[in-house]
Amino acid sequence: MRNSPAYGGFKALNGALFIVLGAAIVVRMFNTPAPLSYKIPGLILGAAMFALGVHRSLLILRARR
Amino acid sequence: MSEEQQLRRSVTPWGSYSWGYADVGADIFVALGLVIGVAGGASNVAFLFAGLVYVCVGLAYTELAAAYPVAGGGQYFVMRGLGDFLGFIAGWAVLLDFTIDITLFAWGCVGYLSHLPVLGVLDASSHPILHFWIVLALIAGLAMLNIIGVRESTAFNGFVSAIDVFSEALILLLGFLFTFRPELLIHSMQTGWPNTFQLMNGISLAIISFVGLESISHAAEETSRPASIVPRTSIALILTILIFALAYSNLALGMQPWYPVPHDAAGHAQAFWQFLGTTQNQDKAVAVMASNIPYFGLLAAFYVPVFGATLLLISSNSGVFGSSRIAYSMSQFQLLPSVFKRVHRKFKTPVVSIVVFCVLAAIELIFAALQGDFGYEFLGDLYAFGAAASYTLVFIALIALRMTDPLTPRKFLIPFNIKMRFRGEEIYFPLVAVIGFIGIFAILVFVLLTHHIGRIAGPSWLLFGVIVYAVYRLRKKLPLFSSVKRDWNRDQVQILKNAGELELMDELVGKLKARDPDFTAKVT
Repeated sequence: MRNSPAYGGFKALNGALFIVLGAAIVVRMFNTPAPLSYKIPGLILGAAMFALGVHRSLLILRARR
Repeated sequence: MSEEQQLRRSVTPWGSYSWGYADVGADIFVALGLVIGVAGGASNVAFLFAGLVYVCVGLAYTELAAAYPVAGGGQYFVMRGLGDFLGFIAGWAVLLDFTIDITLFAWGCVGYLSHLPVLGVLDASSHPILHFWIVLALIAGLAMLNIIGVRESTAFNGFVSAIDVFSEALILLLGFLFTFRPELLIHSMQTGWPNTFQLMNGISLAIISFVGLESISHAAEETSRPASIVPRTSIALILTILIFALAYSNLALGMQPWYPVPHDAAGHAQAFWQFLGTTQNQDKAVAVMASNIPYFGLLAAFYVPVFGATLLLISSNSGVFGSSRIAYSMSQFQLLPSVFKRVHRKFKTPVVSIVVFCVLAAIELIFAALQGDFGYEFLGDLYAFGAAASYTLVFIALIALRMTDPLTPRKFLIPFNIKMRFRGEEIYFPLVAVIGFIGIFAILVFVLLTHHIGRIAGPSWLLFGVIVYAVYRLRKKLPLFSSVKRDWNRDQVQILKNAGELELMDELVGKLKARDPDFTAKVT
């Protein structure tokens, strides 16, 4: 199943946004002075966003090859 | 099965994704305020716990819907794996969820509309009687639309889902960009951490943001080549919903609102998350959040309530449609009286099922309205009970089907399995299903421990269903606790043929012939 270029572009942008947002959340959570246990939900959220972004970007790259 | 009329398989991968998203994606609009109201500073932890369980549930539904692409969903899987009686219990619990879905989402729809300045009179707290009549009118209207056969099309679902994914992502992006303060999130968690009872209550309510996975099965029946398409779309759906639920709860706790937070009823200052969790804001929490994002909030104050209300109305409609479809399926398998199969002469829709379940939804609305400010929470309690009960049985059914039906080809298997032999056949024992079962069973226990109404009303609903089932089966001289004899192997061959999975059908027929050389598959 092939996606249209516009849809592929939208997904690529989406993936890039998730990577940036996820990374920013992880960095900001790490830099906040607090016990690690309170940072865990935020870190998991950031990591999950980052992973989803990477997954989407890899799918797009694979489809373009 | 073979002589029944088949649904046309015309749903595309995006259609399959958006069908699920239109159902499950609306849940966060309902769950966010409820969970924050109960779990306070640990709302994100409650969503995380429920979310991890949901991933296991989602994977289980993905495997089962791809292997058995029929519309019955949880009820069908449990009946096939564990027999008629437990299949009935699972289906009856799902029916409770669908009827609650009708009321809860219609209530939420009116709640979101009431956030518009011109429609403030619809607010449940300040104008409960008007609110009640509007919600009742919505339920009656949806019943009428479903009787005459008007249903949102897959294309419309796709359009709304695309806007929803974009809108929810935009709220999160701008929210995290302009208003999120990690130190405020930590502060909210430290100062607003609930006691254990409240945390358990919050976790059990958080599961309602992940209810609606039955739609994966509904879509599977109308998707061509579901064994390939369902896993792809379901996993994308599971990840999107999970990330949105985690993101909204973390943002709500760490958000620095644009406008000053009003004092509470006693005149005390309150944090933004406390304001979101009040009974006045519980049924419109996402709209309140969005309108507090700088600049974007000016637009969001008008756009998000209308959009949220539309999404919730579609979800409410899927409750009407889903309940009639599940009742129809249960009736086909002689779990419910055949009256539920009766279709309208002119409109050809299951009129009895639609009327019965909409009347039940209206009765639930009356009970909820009698709870005053806690009506919304009452509906959430029952919703959580139905979901936890049916999902618990689905995990057991998945394990049972892996052991008793190893020949059915499974293009998608939940990861982490132990290879072993059972009754001479090689099987893969699913570890994730065991973890998911423990998680969802814990949530069921949390519901029974912490929901004062859910612990009585939920089991009462099941007891009422068992009485209906027993009377029907005894009158028809059918076995009560054992199952009607069915040839599942032939049915499965027919199901795969109908789904267009001809390679998988050949694979199954080959395995069945290798086991029993006399096996002949008569498919139509």
